Formats: sequence, C-alpha cells, structure tokens
Amino acid sequence: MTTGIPAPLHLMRAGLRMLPAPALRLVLRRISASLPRNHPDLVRRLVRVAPGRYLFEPTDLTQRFLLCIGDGGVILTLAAPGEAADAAMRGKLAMLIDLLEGRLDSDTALFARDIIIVGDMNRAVAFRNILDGETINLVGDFLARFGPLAPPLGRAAARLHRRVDAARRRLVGVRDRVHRAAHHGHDPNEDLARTGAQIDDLRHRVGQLERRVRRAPETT
Amino acid sequence: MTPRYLELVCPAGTPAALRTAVEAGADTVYCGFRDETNARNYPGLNFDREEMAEGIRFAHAHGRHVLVAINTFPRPGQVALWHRAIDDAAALGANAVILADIGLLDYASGHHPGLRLHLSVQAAASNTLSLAFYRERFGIRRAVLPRVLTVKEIGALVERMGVEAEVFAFGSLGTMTEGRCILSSYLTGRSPSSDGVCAPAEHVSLSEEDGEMVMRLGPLTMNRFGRDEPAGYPTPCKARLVARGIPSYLFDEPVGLNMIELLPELKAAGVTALKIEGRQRSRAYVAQVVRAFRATLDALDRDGRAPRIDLSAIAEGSKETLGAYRKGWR
Repeated sequence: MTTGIPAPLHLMRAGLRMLPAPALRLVLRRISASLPRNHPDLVRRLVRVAPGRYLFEPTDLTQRFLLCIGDGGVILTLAAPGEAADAAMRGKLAMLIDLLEGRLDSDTALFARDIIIVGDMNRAVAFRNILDGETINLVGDFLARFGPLAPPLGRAAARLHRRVDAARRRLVGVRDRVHRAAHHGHDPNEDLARTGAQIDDLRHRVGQLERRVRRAPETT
Repeated sequence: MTPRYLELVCPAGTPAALRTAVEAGADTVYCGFRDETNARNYPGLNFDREEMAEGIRFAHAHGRHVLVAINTFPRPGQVALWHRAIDDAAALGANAVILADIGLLDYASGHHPGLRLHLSVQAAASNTLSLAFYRERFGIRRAVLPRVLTVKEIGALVERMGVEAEVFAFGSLGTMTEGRCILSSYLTGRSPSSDGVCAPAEHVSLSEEDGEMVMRLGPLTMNRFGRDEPAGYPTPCKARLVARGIPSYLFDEPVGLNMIELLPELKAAGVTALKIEGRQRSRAYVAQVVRAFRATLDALDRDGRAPRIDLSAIAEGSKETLGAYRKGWR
C-alpha cells in the first residue's frame, strides 16, 4: 500500500496539470517512441498477448490517458472525451503509477477499493500480468523528457515533498494530542481498533440472530 | 538446502515474481507452464520452457528449489500435453513436480523414477489410507494437505503418513473439496480442476453503480460491495446470495487465510513446509508476503518468538482467518 507520494510523482502530477495538451501529447509521443528501445520484450509480449485499447483515468486529474496496443506497437496518448476502450482503470494517479510500475498488487488495490477496473477483464488481466513481469519507470521516463531541467526540478520536488510530509506528521501529532485530551489519554489508534472489534462482534451477533430467525419455524 | 525451521514454499506466476520470491527469502518457489496443465491458467501468466529453464537456473544459483505444478486433471484424449509437461519439468531440472491425477502420478513414477513427486492439494488426500496409497504406489515424497484439517488433525496425520507434510499458510481460501470444485463450470464452462481457472477473467465484469462496486460472473451478480466496503473475488463460493430477501454469505465470505500466528504449532505438529498461495498475484504481493514469513520464521528459529506482522491489507476482503486450522465451530 502506498503510504506517501514520492517526490518525482509530485512533479509529474504538477507537470500533467500544468502542461498544455499539445505539449503533453508531444511528451507522451516521445515516451511511446522510447518503449520499444527500453522494453523490447515487454512491447513484444503486450502486442502478442494483450492487444487492445486501455484507458487510464486518474481521479485526481482532469486528463485521461489511452494506451493502444496493436500492430503499430504500444502508443500512449491523451484520451478524447468519450473515447472508447476495451478496458479502463480508475484510481488516484499515485495508485495507477504504483500499479503500472509494479509496486502495488492490483488485487490488493481492488480489495481496498483504491482502483476499479471495468470492461474486458480478460485483456485487463493479461495486460496486468505481462506488465508485472517487467520493471518500468514511467515517472522517470516522463521527467526525462524535460532534459536538463529534470534534475533541478526533481530536487525542488523532493524538498517540497519533505515539507509536505513533515507538515502531515505534525498534523497527525496534533490530531493525536487533541484526541487524547478529549478522551482522557486514550490512544486514537487503539480506540479505532476497539471500535472495529466492537463492530465485528456486533456483525457476528446480528449474523447469529439472522440465522436463528431463519431456522425458526414460520408462524402465520 | 540448509534445513530450516519450516521450508517456505512461495508462488511465482512470472519470471519476475520468481526472482522476487528468491530475493525476498523463499526456500522454494513453485510455478507452472503457460497452459492448462497448472491450476492458475490465467492470461499473461506462467512460464514458457525457456523462462522455466532460466528460472530454475536462477533459483539453483541461489541455493533454492523450484517445484513445477502440473496439478490439473487431463481431459480425455489430450493427455499428451500433461505428459510433455512432466517430461520437460524433469529435463529442465525441476526439484519436484506437483501432481494430482493418478494417471499422471503413474506416468511420472514410471518414466522418471528419479523425479521427486509431491502430491498436490488438488488430490484432496486427507487421511492415512489415501496417503499410504499414493506413497506405496507412486513413491510420493510430500503431500500438500487440504485446507480442511485442524492443527491437531494434521499432527495425528503427520505421525502416520510416512511422507513430508506441506500446508497452506497464506492466501485464498474456498469452501470446497479440494480438487473437486466444479462450481465455476456451471456458470462459465470452465473450472479449476480441468482448466486451471476459477471465475475465468473473460466471464468477469466489474462496474460502479450508485457508489457500489458490482461484480458479475457471466450474467449473474456475485456481489455488490457498498461504498468503502472491502471487496473480494467474484468466485461463486464467495458470492453474496439472497435468500428470503436477505443478502448474506451462505457458503463462504471474502476472507484470506493467514496462519502466521500458528507457525510454532505447525512446527510442533511435524509439518515440513509452508505454502504461500498466489501465483495469480503480482510480484509486489509476493515480495510483501514472503518477506513477512521469512522474518517471522527466522525470528522463531532464533528467538522462539516473533513479532506479529499485519498482512490483512493484502488479504481478500482485507480480512484474515485461520480457517479450518482452528475450527471455532466444532
């Protein structure tokens, strides 16, 4: 499970938000062109086993991305509104990137409701399995398109990430202190765990009651 | 291989997952060929012959073992595919093959007398008479026990079975007679036992409807998960069924098996090896589960106790159970 957003991803997301569509299309075209060079086996297997059109819909961005796999190779583009696809994957950008780069198990993400996959599941499973066999660096490839600007931008993003992370930790500390003050020194995580256990217990007891009701002879 | 506290047998659906499992601390990796000879026959998964040869070389170079699962049941007239899989596994240097079908066990023991045979859980052998048959007739060296026995029952069996015992430690859990589940075939025409797939992907569809995630298998709705409710697989045995107007899990619910807390008891019961389920899962899953079990086993071996590692997030339905290993309903 992703616990924090790595700095380069902040930068990528900022780039995706700020770049005008023509510039973004150019970047995506260059990434597509580099794929057969950097990942020849992956491209060959995708074309052979998982041809189709895959839509990626980051819920925290306005753009959607279309990956076309076919005789022309593997081409990543911006999706037009209403663009049809064989399968679509929806979730936060960080989740989708973790999934595509092999850091996140798709079943785990599905169980947690962090992503949803709709459409032709056979193609989606084949795509996922083939992709999982290769290590790719989409964020790195994206940032590399900015040439000599990439390293200083990456460092700036790392600094920003550290500040955001520190602020997040401070906020969690404040939340915990407020909670302890309001609840006589109880640890909020322990309270949450206790509440969860109580809910589980109640579910169990309701289930028992339901079974008992079902077993009881019906009276009219 | 140096004797371990318990041998850790880990899944690999792809060559990358095999390398991940070895690097994360697996003692042994199991995998299958890219066809219906193994019980995880999903698109884009498994190994061709060249990949299997390379995977075995890689594992052996790191002092680990590779088991090849050929654990489905051949269809009439098509047994050559299964025979070829056994021949190739032997030729490529697999440390053992995992078989379920009596005919295949007979073929393997007759044609490859030096090849170590493990009895798959798909054979559903769970008593001494059954295990003695496989041991005496085919010379099996290990049996993977079905997930229907308590630790006490496993202990009693191990004393008399005369071969090594391997038990499931983590992964999927279904309510079934292992190896004989054909529930999926009524809905899709394909089953784990003959085709290597339960709820085949081409029959599965997901959709979002009014904030719910709806899972269908063919035309039938298997489940509707409420907003933020953890989800499971669209398998028929874990469908949320409506009886008398009340939706509930009549057979089994979406939950994953995790008996990491029972490892000392299993060791004491005489178990040899632990199996992690999940060849259909990603290398991220393999890395996380294998590292957790490696750390726990090493700590138990060294200190006699180990801190609890939480794996619930990667379990089906984000929920864990000890299953039949500790039957609370008896």
